[in-house]
Amino acid sequence: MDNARPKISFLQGVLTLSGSLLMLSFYMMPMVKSNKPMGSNVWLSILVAIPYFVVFGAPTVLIAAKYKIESFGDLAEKALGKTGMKITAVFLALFLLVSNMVYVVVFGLFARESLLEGFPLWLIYAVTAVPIIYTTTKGIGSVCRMATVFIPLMFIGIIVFAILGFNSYELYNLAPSGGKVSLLDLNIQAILIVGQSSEFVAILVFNRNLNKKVNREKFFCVATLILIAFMLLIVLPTLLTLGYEYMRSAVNPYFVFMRQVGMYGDIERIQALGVFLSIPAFLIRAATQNCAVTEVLNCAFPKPDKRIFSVGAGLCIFLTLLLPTFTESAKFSDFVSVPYFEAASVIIVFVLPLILLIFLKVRKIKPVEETVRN
Amino acid sequence: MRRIVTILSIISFSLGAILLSSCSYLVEPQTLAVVSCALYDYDGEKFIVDYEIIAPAAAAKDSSLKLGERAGIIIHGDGDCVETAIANAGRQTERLIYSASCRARIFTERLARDRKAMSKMFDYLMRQPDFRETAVLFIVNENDIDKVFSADTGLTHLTGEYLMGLSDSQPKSESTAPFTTTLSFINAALSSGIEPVATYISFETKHDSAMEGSESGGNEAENSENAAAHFNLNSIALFKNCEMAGVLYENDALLINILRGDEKQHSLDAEDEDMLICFAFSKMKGKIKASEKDGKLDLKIVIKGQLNVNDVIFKTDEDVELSDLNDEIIEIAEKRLTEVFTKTIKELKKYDCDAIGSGNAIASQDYDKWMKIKKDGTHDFQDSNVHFEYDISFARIGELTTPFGKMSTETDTD
Repeated sequence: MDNARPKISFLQGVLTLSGSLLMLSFYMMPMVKSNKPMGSNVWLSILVAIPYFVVFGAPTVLIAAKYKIESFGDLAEKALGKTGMKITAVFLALFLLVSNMVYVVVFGLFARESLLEGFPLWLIYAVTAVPIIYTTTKGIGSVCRMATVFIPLMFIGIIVFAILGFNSYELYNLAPSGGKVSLLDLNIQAILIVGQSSEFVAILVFNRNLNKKVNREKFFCVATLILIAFMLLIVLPTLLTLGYEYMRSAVNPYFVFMRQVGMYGDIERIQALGVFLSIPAFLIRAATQNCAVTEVLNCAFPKPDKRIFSVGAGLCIFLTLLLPTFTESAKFSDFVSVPYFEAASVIIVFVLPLILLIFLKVRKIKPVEETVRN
Repeated sequence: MRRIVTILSIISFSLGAILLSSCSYLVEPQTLAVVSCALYDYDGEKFIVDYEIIAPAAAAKDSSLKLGERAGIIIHGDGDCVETAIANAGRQTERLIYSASCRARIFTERLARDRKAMSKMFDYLMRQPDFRETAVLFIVNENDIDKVFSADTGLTHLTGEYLMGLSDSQPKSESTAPFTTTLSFINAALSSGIEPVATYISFETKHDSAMEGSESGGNEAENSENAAAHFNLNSIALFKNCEMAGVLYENDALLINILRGDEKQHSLDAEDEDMLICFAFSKMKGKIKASEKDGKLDLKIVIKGQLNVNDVIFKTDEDVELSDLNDEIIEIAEKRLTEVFTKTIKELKKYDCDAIGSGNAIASQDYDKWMKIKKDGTHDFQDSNVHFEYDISFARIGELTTPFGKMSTETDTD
């Protein structure tokens, strides 16, 4: 076993996971852009998503709780064989890479349309790629330590905005709108919300970095509850202020909401503060996912220096995003609003760990610790 | 040591926020032409834009400016579309037009009455990164355009600042204007169950008292030239499907403001055979209960609030204790409110404008029914029965428990 690997505490893990998963809602709020308009019920779908997080996260958490020492590669190899492990690892790495790409595109779109109008897109990506690649080379331990400083600041910012925005809340925005929403629609939307936060599958990759004493079930539940609470703190104030239709049409509805926040005429236009607090969190999420890609690829193709994967994955994202599909605003806003990606994510985060779990059970593979004791 | 480093990082990170100016443009603030007030017009062929630009040097010397002096300049542009009009206006200034600090946005009545033009206008404005939704929205008649930037602005030196100041101070005391922000307007325009409203500006001309008293003030033509126009914000512009439908005046706005939750305080006088009562209503809230009766929409509007009696003038010489008249006073007040509200509803029905949000009320009480009404196009506000119910409590406000006139000059001792 690698004794030098970083140990992630409960707090570091929870903040990294919940903070990173929240970022998509912060920059885009994909739940309001679904094909089926949810109207003012959109906040309800976030609550309905709680049991789905538990269901879809269960295989991941069960594996993480039982096999605390093994790396993802070791587990996959024991369960699926060497070739199976390599295929799974490449598949997972690709999924994480694409989802990171979507996420960086969302940030790029927001930065270009709302923050830095007329700024060259390649420069925005270059400016983001450098810290992401650098942080990734420092490893997941450094990323999690960064998260304990920056994610709470972002959480505090979200709470402050929700409180200061009180004056702009219009209760009639909660009145039902946007068409009839059936229970089935609500549940489909809740599942898609899980899909939008699908990177929790990275728990499997970083499980052995998580402190052994950390209760994995509790860790996942606390992170999910924090995620849901802050999703509501983002969505509800935005809904109450902008109304559903405006929210649905805005590139970044939460940014538009932050623009409205003010108090006593002296505190106004403090949206820059919100963006300022969110940018480190954006980098943390992108770096976490890049770290996961690095770890997974290193399992499949071990190298003495895994930083080659960190740099490679970072450059891959940066270069792909320079393709015309991603630099043309109309096309890439279509790209990020496609629900198929969310649906595919749900399947991957559920099915992949489930297959792994079934094979581990069928082959009766015991955790490393127990084997040593025996 | 590590903890100290963490704390220092947090402090330095937080201090970094001070460097943020909230300006999202990649331009230095001194190269921006900051818009304080924007006036938009459409004459049927061309869009016309007038911007009041803050003159930084004058604004910096705000306290040394004399009353009536301006701290801004006006630039004008027109064009076939909104973008061209704004671009043409931009050619008159050496700086880059920046609207994120816009305090007031004024549309002319003829623009507001043209749905297509309004649509184009909002589409353009909402796509701009410097669009400011908190700017208060006003409507002005196109014949009064000249007065907008020349009318008296009280203690401030910019029309935008003045209008924003009014929207901050007026609702706290007595105001019949809704002071709708651009965001509230957009919200209501996009909502299917409520129609948007905006403050309607009219002007009244008052002669300068000093001038009236002067000996040389005899020439009538000269007097009318020197007369200052004053903003009058006691009216409310009604919209139907994002198109201006009509105007309500003075007390007519009360019900709309109450039901939209914007009403803070409102004074009314009521009279019956025995007395004249001056009321002030405060903490007023309204709720609509919708049902169907005899195939017609039945709206019950429940008004809750506090009634403060400012003065009672008895027509007879009777000296009656106010506390003995509580029920009677409340009855008179309710009657007066019903009178005002019924007139408002009549006006709203005339324009078929559901500015009170009865559609939202139906939707929140029975969504299926609302969907059906919407689908069949049978949300007939004009044909609805509206009646009022009150839950008003009586209070004597202020720091005196006994009216001044009832205070005894000497302490009564047996």
